[in-house]
Amino acid sequence: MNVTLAYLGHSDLKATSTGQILSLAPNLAREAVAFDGPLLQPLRFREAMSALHDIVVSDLRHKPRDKAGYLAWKKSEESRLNEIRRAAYAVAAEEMNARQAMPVPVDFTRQFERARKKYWNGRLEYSRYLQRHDVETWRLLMPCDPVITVAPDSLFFECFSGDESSYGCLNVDREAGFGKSDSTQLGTTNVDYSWDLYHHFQALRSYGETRFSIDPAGFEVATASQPGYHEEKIDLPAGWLRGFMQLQSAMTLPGIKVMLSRETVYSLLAWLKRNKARISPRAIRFELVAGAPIKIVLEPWNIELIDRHVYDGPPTEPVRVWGGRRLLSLARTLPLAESFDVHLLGTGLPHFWVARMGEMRLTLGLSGWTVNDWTRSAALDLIAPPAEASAAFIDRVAGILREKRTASARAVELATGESPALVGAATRHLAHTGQAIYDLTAGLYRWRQIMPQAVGEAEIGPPHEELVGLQKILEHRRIEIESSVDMPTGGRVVMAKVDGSHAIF
Amino acid sequence: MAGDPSIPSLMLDELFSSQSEQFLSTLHRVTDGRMLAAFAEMWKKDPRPWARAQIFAYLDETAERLLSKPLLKRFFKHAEERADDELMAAFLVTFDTFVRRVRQVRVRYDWQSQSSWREESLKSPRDRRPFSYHTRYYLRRRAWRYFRRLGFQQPAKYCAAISMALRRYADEDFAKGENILDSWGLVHALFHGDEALEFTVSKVNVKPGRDLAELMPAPYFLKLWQETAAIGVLLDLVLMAASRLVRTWAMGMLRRHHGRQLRDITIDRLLKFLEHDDEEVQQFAAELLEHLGGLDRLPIETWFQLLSTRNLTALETIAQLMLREVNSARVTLQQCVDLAIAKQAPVARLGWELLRTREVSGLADLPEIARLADAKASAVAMELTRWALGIVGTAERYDIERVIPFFDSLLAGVRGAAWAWLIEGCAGYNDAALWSRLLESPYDDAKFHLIAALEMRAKLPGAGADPPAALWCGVLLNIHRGGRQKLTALRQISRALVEHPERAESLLPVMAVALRSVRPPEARAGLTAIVGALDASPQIAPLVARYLPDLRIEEVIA
Repeated sequence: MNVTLAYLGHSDLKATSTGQILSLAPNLAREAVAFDGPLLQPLRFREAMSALHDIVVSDLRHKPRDKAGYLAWKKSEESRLNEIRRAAYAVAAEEMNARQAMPVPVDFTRQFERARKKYWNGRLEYSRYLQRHDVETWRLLMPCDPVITVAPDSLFFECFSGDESSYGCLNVDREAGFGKSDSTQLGTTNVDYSWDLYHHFQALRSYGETRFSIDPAGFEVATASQPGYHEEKIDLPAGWLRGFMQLQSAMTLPGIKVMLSRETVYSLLAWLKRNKARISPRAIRFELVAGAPIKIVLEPWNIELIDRHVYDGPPTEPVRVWGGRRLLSLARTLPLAESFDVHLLGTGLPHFWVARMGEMRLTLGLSGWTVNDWTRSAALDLIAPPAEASAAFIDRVAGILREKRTASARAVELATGESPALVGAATRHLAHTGQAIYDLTAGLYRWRQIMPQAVGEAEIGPPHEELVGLQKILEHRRIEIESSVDMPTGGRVVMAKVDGSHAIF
Repeated sequence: MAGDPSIPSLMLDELFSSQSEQFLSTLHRVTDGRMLAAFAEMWKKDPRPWARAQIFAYLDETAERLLSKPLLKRFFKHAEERADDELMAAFLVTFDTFVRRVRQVRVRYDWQSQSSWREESLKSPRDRRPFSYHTRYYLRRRAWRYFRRLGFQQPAKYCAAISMALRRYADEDFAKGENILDSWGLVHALFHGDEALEFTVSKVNVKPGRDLAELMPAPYFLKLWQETAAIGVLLDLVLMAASRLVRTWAMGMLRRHHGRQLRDITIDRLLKFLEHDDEEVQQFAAELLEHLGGLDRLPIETWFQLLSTRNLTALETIAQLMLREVNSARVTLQQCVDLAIAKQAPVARLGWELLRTREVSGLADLPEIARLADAKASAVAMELTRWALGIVGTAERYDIERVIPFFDSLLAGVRGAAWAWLIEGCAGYNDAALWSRLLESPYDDAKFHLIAALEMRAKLPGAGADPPAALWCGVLLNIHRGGRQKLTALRQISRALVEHPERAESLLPVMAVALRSVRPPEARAGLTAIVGALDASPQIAPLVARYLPDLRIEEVIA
């Protein structure tokens, strides 16, 4: 997907007569967004934004060793053999040329996918090279301009990591985090972000006033000939946007919430930093027993971390989550954090860590594994409550959220008069299509369009094949319920015949 | 691409007359030879520059498209008749790319000696390029013959004319070594006299036992190239040739035959060479600069332009030359600082060399020197900081606004040198404002220096009455580094608990981090610190019980 970002000037930290001003250049290709208020806690903001930066640049995919020298030698050795192959290739190419006039082959799509994969593999390799040798140029390949939303009660900054596995959202309460804003325009935009801006963040200090400004001036005057005007066209990787939206849609799913103390998270991170799991299993296991302190077990060492908080949720089997090293992005929030909320959807599923830092909250959403294939839909929809919202109802919910900007699930239910399951399905769809975001801490849905234009099916991807199969079954009504028993611990066991076979749900 | 017989000539005429962008793409779809022949007659006589440009554009598409024989024949003859050097140059390049032999390896076996060996040869594969191989060979020869005759009949025009062709060759035309040999016109023009090559009637091969890597500039009409008039052509080739092969050849010719005259090259031309994308050309420019006369009179602004080159090797040479040739008194302090804070190490080193010998006396110079805190090259960062703080950090000149940027620098080297400056006796050592600002530093090394300073001084000037809980918190919760400093910080917290038991409420949660740490040394040190504090201030026991409920205090005290 090609995305156009247009900025007038660059985001910068400038010195003024009274202090300094952190001026962010908004994307002129989107709706006008503005904010201009003093930062009340510049040091805390600096640390939180730096943690968000760590999420953006985190790339924990396997990076093979740099064997450039060896490969060059190997290449020269192989060149002789290649000549022979080339001769054979020439013959094959001749045959291919002769076939050019023939109709498009049936597996053309597969061939295209293969070629595209080759392109992205090459680009990824180039990206890794640049990341090591030329960070500035690498940033041009990285779609890391954060999305910033000015909401009635808060400002939030969102980003998605380059390895398509970590989602970050820094939420700052407007009342406690900023002073009075001289110009406010609610909405969502991208802001020009660069490595230099990250360095500028490090210069934030509490002495002297620091104003935080999303400068709307560019919307009135910017033209392509204007000095400072620059436009970037970013070719987003196929899975990047899809991964971004799927992780957000996962936030709307029901799960288990546990609270961890700062000491526990410190111990967890300190251990993961010092020790690298070389053998499987490498999961972080949450052992949750009602009325007992929360226990986290680090595999494969079986190191137990007992938190002082007591688990008071519903009974559950141990939940194992993977990709723990990505949690190291939270390191910079530790001195600010009061506690951490962890939202678990289940074993192997995405998990969300919310650092509570007074007026700020940093949400780190992690996919089930570090390496994801977002080109296909994840099975997240399968664990969602079974309800299908019509397009008209989704539009209605979108209209309510667009108007109110922020609303709880209950408020949407009241406004629409529909059941929680149906409202959940509609809001989940909106999150999945990049229209809304669920604020885990506040328990609110917020209207936020990730892209200036509506996100289509090509970006969302096809539904999961199991879900398609389920829909087919439901359409043909091939289910016969044999019995339904309520469980004492909650939930219900349903025995049914699906397509003539027995099944238990 | 298969031809489209349905394209009417009227459509082609319309696109041609309206100078449409779709003209060439439509032309490629026409397969009717007669129609193309008739069209070529009209096209070649069209006086519009656009029509002429389209012929060149058409010839440039050799690699991607199948060129039409009727068009090629008519344009070529037309160019030859009109003695159109530029168009003939384009044809020379096009026809040179019509032959692309491939290497073939054959394994031979001698039954008598019962041994096998490999033989490598160049074969002409069957391909879809226009004309038979014999015709292609002929066309290559005929295009080159035009220039050869030009060399004999109008020698004054030859170098400029053939350079038009040489500029057109691209690196893609020589993707493989054997492609050079197939470029009949090029090989004759550049390497005709080279002993490593053998020329047959239509082909060029490498002599047995020789290698393409041995090729040295040995052009046809060597004497013409050795004339002074050819220097400009060769310099233009270095600058404008699209292929590395031609650029390297031109540089070789200039080095070998025009070394002395190159000392008079203009600085403007050198600057263009330095801006070239090819690193070899940039280095060539630096080499020329080294032997250029009157460098000591070159304006400083020009030196700055020279220093903006991207090639580090060339930059090193230019920086050395500037240091050698330019009197440091000609460079202002501001310019020296600009050089010193450059990102490239050779430039920054040059700036440092110019600065170190400089006498700084006036107060007006101090803001300039403070700019050195923006140093970007690690190689000289420490020296620059030491020198700068030696001036702006003296007791009589000390100003916190000029000193603090060194502690906040992005380079660890600058920060390290600044902390090395901050010792007892220096102007900032007892400055409360400076220490209070240092407490807000986001850098780990600064935090560790502060912990070390706290250990030595018990109380920092700018820390106020309260213990610096935020600093200890930052150090103890650092997961990346600081193992030793953490133990020191724990001792300091323990002492602070004894001295300020009323602060236990803010300090105990910090201590709890160490006590519950998964790292045994931290947990042990935390426990020792708590026990020490409890021993000295038993009144904090209730608070300890509240914040550390998992600690059995009674037993410890007992």
